[in-house]
Amino acid sequence: VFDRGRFVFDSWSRAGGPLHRLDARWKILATLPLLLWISWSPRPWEPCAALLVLTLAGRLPLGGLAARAALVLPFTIVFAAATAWMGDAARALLLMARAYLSAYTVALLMASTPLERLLDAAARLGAPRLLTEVMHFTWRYLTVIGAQAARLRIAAQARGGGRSFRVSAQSVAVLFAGSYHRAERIHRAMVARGATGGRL
Amino acid sequence: LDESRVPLMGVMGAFVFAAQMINFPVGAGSSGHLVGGALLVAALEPSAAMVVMTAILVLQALIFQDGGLLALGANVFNMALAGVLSAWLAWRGFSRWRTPGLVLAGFVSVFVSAMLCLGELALSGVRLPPGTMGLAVGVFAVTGVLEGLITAAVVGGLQRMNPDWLRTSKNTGGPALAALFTAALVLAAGGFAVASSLPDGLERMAGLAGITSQEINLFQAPLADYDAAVAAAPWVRKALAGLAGLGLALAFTWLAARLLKRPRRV
Repeated sequence: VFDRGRFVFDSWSRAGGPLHRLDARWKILATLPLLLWISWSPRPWEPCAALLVLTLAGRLPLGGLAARAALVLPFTIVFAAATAWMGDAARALLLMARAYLSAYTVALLMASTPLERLLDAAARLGAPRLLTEVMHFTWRYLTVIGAQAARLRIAAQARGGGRSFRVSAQSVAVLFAGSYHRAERIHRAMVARGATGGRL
Repeated sequence: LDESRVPLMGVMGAFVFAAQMINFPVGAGSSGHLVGGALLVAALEPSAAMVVMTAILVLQALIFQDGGLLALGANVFNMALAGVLSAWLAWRGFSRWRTPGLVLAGFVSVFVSAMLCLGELALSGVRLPPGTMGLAVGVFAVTGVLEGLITAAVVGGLQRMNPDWLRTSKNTGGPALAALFTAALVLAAGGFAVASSLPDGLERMAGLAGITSQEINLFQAPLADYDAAVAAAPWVRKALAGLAGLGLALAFTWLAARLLKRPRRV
């Protein structure tokens, strides 16, 4: 489940390029009208061309981004199929194109901006500090806790409990315990380094 | 909320992501996994659980292409706000029967979110073929029961390991009231989904209330979900839908932040 592809943005976003060097705040502000354009333009090839130009100008991997954006398709296909079945094939196609281009736009933003810079920029634009701080922590510890979850799963399978509801529940409980203790250690380490315990 | 809660909330977000890797066999060779809203309610205060769920949804939209930025407002409302709130009401209302209370909390957190999402999709112009609505409601009801069973099993494990990790329900609100509230939420969400799937229901209702059809378009716009794009109406409506989604997300996070700033027993 934790395929390496999920962290591919980390390597892309740390490369150098014209888009990488832009202020993250401008990139966030530019993404918004781009998404709105995609979601109301009746001619999806226009924003598509714009995205293509941005990708090539920013020297970003076109194929890799296109593959990332395709992750949105399975979800969209369900609703597109329902719409097509109701006799509106043109609208179904438009729906698919828009969902795909929106996902591509977000992938473009993520591939040119490291997440921590994006979160800082969002906070400076007025997003609640509390939320961005929590997201920093979640992103930082996702791999750590995820690795523990993988170890727990392998351990359960090794002991023959890979298909047991009770063992799975206990594994999640152990994972919770590990996460809780880790959060306590992090907090103590923060206090030891001078965090004041003040309010956000 | 003091700083010590921020690492906990952040790591809990990572925990929910990671816990979704652990599969639960549910018979017939298929398996499911935890969604996490109700479990967070049992471990954190509801406002903190809302912030954690919001963080998870934003990260999913950004990194995993799951959801989408314009739909984020609707998603946060459905899952982080309504889902957590209904789970909290159920958990608190039925706290004297711990396990059934937790099963119910897990169920409503998933079911209410799913029904709201279906309703919003219907309002935004997705026309599901007749019959599929009933099927979808059934599927989400099963998913909800599953979430409830997983939540109760995990909380049972935590209880055996260290009861201090779990919050104790204070039983101040009156269980009957909370139960009533939960039932109302489920009914309202289900009714919303079903009613909005009827082709003319909304317009007839609006007609009775004396609203012209032009106003209905504006009225419906803020509720459009996953790709406001689906709607066939003019571009104004779609733009409004996207902006309303973002506005809703902003308003919600601001509200949650305000709630969390209030002094609170840790």
